[in-house]
Amino acid sequence: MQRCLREGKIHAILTEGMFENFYSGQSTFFELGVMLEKDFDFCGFTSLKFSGDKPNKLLWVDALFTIKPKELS
Amino acid sequence: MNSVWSSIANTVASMKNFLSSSIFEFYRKMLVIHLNLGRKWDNSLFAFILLILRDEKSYIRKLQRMARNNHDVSTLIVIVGVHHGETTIQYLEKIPNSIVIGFEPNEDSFEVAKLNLQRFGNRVKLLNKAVGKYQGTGRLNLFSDSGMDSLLPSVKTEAQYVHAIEITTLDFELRNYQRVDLLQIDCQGY
Repeated sequence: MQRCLREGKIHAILTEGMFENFYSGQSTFFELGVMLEKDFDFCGFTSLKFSGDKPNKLLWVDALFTIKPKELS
Repeated sequence: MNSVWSSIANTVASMKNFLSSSIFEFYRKMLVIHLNLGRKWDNSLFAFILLILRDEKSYIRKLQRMARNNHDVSTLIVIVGVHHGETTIQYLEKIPNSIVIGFEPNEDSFEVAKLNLQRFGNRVKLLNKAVGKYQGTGRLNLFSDSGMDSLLPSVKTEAQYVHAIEITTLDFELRNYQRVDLLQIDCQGY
């Protein structure tokens, strides 16, 4: 993916970010966001999933990043 | 009196700092505030406030508009983690000239996705591979909910099965494409 990013080939990324520590060695949303913000603009969340049994426990989010929002408007 | 002015100045400075940070930082702070509020703030209200700013639908509309303006150019969508093809169908139906390259390492899910997407013909290219940092083989952890399958092991529950799979890289698979309009990554923390 590194070469694709370097070449500016990818114009938008819709990615899942996890808050719950479910997998060993997983990337959290904030780690992903900080990395992607170097090349992309953060547009917002497209979905949020809260735990059903624990109040205010955020499990995961989907977030949209775009590289050239002006071109698409 | 000085301390009052000092605290006002501090408040203004912190507000300025809060507002001038990036959108990502703004959302991050909103989340931290929300999670610290505990039961005092309703989750659904918070989700509504955040999602009101969401861009998914408007982005699909932008993709549709772009597709109409460029009849000769296909809109390329790459999906890592197709599962049963649920979101792939949405893209293919909403964006008429779109083509999808999808990756799904779980054999059973791959077969279901193939069936669900066969009506779209050559607009879909499905690959029974995982996407990773290298080309080769690896182990996919299979869970009771196939939507949770991942190259990463779970820290909460034992995988029901571990399955040998082929791994590829996006750099290799997309080497012949000039532009990817949307890359959707839903591969469980990897």
